[in-house]
Amino acid sequence: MPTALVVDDEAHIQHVVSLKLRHDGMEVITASDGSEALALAINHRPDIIVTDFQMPGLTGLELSTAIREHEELADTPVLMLTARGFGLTDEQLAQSRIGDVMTKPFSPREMLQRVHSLLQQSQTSTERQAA
Amino acid sequence: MIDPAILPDSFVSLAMSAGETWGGAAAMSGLVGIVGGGVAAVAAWALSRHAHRRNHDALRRIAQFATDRAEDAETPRPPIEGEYADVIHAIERAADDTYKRAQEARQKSRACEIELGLAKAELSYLEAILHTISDAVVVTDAFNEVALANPAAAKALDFELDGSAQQPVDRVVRDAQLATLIKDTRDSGDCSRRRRMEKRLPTSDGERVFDVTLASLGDKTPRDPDADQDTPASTRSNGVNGVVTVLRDVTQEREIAESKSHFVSSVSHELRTPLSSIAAYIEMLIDGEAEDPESREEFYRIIQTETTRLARLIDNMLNISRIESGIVRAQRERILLTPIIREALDVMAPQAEAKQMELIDKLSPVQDYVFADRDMMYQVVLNLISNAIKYTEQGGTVTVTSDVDREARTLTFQVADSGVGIPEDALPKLFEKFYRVQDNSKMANGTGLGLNLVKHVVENVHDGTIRVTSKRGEGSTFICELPFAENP
Repeated sequence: MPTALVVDDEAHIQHVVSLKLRHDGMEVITASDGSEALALAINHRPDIIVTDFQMPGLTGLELSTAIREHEELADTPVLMLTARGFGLTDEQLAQSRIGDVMTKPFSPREMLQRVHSLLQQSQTSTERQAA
Repeated sequence: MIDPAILPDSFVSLAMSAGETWGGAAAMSGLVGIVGGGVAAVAAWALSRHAHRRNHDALRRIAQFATDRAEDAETPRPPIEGEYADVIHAIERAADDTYKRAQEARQKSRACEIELGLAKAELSYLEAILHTISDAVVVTDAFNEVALANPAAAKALDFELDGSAQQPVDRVVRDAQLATLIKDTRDSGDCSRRRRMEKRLPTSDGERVFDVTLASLGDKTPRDPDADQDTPASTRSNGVNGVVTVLRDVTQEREIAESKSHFVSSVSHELRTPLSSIAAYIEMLIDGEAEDPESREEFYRIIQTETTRLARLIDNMLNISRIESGIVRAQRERILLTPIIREALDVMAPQAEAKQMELIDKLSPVQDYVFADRDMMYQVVLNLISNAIKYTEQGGTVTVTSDVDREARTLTFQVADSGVGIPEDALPKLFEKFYRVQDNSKMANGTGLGLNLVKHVVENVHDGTIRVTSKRGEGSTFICELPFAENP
């Protein structure tokens, strides 16, 4: 059963994302800011991170960059939700190794689909590496 | 006309002696060989007298002519006969000719003087116009030397206006890129095309952004003499070669554009956040993810909360806009401020609790009335307390104090926090619309509208004052002063 780390400073968003993932059978841990999320990620090694972009402490981009410094988290897929309509370049996303981005307001249904496909990709690449 | 009697003595005597000598010589050569003795001497004397008379007349006529000409008067010229008539006519013709030329030269010189005067007046007129223009203007000539410049240019490009004329452009315009561009524009000589660029230049007012336009005055493209008649004058070469460089300071426009773009992105973030919750929970309800009635009720409640939040945000934005445009009408009445502050403290208590913060009530027991709009003052107090909580780390304190000054007839209340504080350079801009302290913006979301609204309400609507003191790392204190409401 995969574990997801859900990070958002907005309690209601954090709640709805967690609920959708839990209903899908995933295990969920939550954080309200980037720094807390980094500490949780290091301790719990989640299979996927769903994070907000703009939040206190680290931004979603900074969080995604920071986790890559830890070997065991280097390949953890990150799905970022952002309320900023523009301003993020593909280059920034690639540099921070953000797997996918969704703009708020978002559909929890679609969010779940994207989580699935990121997990799938991650699994395929792990298998390929093992082989 | 001048009487020859008052001609200078030396002139007349010189003429006379010349006539005598000349007359004597003629008589000698004419008669000595034919007659001799006393007859000859008498005849010679008579002739000499006659010749002397005529010489004298001729010289007088020339002298008079010269005097009249000198005074620009016309000399009457009665017919003249005798042996000197031709000589006199020749002298008069030569003199007439010289006089005519001199007069022409004088006229030309006068015309030149007038033209020079006009040109000088025109130049100072142009300079006066140039000096009133707020854009920086530098005109350079065919030799890339400064021909004209205005004070705005001296300020923007940081040079001394006095003494800049006829200086090489790269000595006056120290920005190498701009100086090169001016020279390139002059070399191209293409006046049909203007060159534009945006340039950041350091000035005495700090770095400013300029919109630079360069236009060539000359045209080096070869002209077709036949086509010239039909060519509009504006595109024809006028023999002038040079470049006009205009620098418009667009720093403020850029800043406004930047703050607007920041505002739009900030507001869109603020609007999208509650909207996301509403949309997500509705989809969850549709998808049947709320299985039990309790869950459904919770979802409905969240949707309601977020809708209220969205509405409040829009209200806030509209309030500022209404106050700014003078549409809003404050409903001021004699009210006590303390209950309003206590109400705001109660509303903010859960937020303070979430951050393990202490909200300290040090409100004065002495109650005094202010003449204020209840809702607006509530917004002011709520904004200040909410900010204090937002920008204070977990476990900090927020203290609300009030005091009355009976002499000044004012009521002061202040909201002090033990938070991160505000950098000194941010303090003057703190109440500006859309402004957010960059260093603190990560701590909390905001539109940069709250303090602007507070200032509007306190100062423009209630004739009060709002100020702030802050120390980085130690906290901030916002002090609001309102006049008492006079007894009815």
